[in-house]
Amino acid sequence: MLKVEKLVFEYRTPGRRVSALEGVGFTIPDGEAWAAIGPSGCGKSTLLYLMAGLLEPTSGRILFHGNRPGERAREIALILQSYGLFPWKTVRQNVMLGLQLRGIHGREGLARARRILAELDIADLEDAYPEELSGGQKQRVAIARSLVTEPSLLLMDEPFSALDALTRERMQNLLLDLWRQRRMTVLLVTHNIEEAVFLGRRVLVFSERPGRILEIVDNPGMGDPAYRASNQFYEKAVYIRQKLFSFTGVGAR
Amino acid sequence: MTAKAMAVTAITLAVALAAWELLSLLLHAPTLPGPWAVFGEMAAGDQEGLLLHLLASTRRVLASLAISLVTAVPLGLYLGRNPGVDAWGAPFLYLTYPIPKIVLLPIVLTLLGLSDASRIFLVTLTVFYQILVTTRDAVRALPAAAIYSVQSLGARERQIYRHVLFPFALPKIFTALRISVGTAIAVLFFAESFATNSGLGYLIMDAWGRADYELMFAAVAALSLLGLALYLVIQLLERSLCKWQR
Ligand SMILES: Nc1ncnc2c1ncn2[C@@H]1O[C@H](COP(=O)(O)OP(=O)(O)OP(=O)(O)O)[C@@H](O)[C@H]1O
Ligand SMILES: [Mg+2]
Repeated sequence: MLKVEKLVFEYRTPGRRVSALEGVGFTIPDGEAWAAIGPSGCGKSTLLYLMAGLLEPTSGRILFHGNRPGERAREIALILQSYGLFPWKTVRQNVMLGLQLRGIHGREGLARARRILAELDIADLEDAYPEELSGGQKQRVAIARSLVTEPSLLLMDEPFSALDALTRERMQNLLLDLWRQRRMTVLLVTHNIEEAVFLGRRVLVFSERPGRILEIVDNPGMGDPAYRASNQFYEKAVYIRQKLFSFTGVGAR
Repeated sequence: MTAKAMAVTAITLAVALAAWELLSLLLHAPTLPGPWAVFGEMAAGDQEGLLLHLLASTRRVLASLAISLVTAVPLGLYLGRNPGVDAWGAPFLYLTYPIPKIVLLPIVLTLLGLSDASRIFLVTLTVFYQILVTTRDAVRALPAAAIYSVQSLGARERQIYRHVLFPFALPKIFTALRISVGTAIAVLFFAESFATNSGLGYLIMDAWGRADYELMFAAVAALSLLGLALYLVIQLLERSLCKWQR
């Protein structure tokens, strides 16, 4: 279980305080995939950094399986907004880094990296450098790198926002597949309403900065690849769109 | 090197040599021997002497570069990573950086003696600053996301240095190194022209004093070749260590 309680976070820079999150709370049962959606700058990335243990809450707390994220960082994987790949490492080296940092070297590490690269259909790219890849390929590498350590919590920050519509849909299907096979807990942050409805069993709708949760939208149809084409899906998207715009007062984008 | 780059290099070299020969013919003065005379001197004259001096200079400049790298790179990475410490170090750095290190020669000779150590120290000081400032500034420009990325994979502080800070700064370190080679050779020349009897700097000044212009130019050519060779070695190292850069 992933439990977030009364979470408050302020960025403190000399002479300035930016309140990014204000009293955020929710609980994700093990094995569920949730999505979070909200206006730009509302603190979504900040929430993920806190959950990954990269920032400490100003107040409130996060518990994953009863531990603070810093203590169990090894179970948690984070895919950053801009992929977070290292340009000086090849695809293989990028994917193996997480293993290497956990002390898994040599043959076992290589075998695990190759297995996940093959699963994501990028085995032929293992010697390429990130600069040589397309956006969709980079995203696959980032996913491979986070899954190779077999995390029980996967955090993703707008993973598909830089992709074209077709690649994006393909990657959403891929992610759904990977989740259905593995059943890890997922929290996916996105700007895209359809993406949130397709990939979130529940959708956290955030207010403008400082981020508060406006509503946790139940989305029982999620999990079926065919959901995308249903009326139910469409209605859910309309509902969330209304929530977002009525609360934030922002016009259609 | 590509075929094109090699051709350009060859043509440049030929043009430079031709210009030199031409100038020497025009002036027709013993103070400017042409390339043939100089290379003749290198081939026929006291080869062993020239080689010994070249070795002495090479040893000094290599030692200086090595010492600068192993001290300035870690320190630069550390200062770049720790702005709190850097806030203390920066004023000192900015005050001492503009001092032309070469003017410290008399002091260094007094303190360290007339040995190799004082010449190596002077060249090291020059290169050290260049690399230190470059490395520090490189690390400070690293996007925070890169640190988050490696930390989220479970990296500890030491591993952040190894997997992110160092490789990120490496191409910039090579650039600084390439720029400092020229300065290093210049400082070495000066440091070798006082109170010693080894090194190309000494040989140049000595030959000049004895009006042996062929030898003087041979030594100048040897010093230039040393610079060129270092430049090429750095280039090759960069190619093989920074493969992701094209
Ligand atoms: N290092 C920082 N120092 C000060 N303020 C910051 C810092 N990082 C983010 N902020 C501020 O905190 C707020 C939340 O930022 P965050 O990146 O979490 O937003 P976001 O919801 O992910 O936005 P986007 O959708 O554009 O990615 C923003 O208003 C931002 O300006
Ligand atoms: Mg963000």
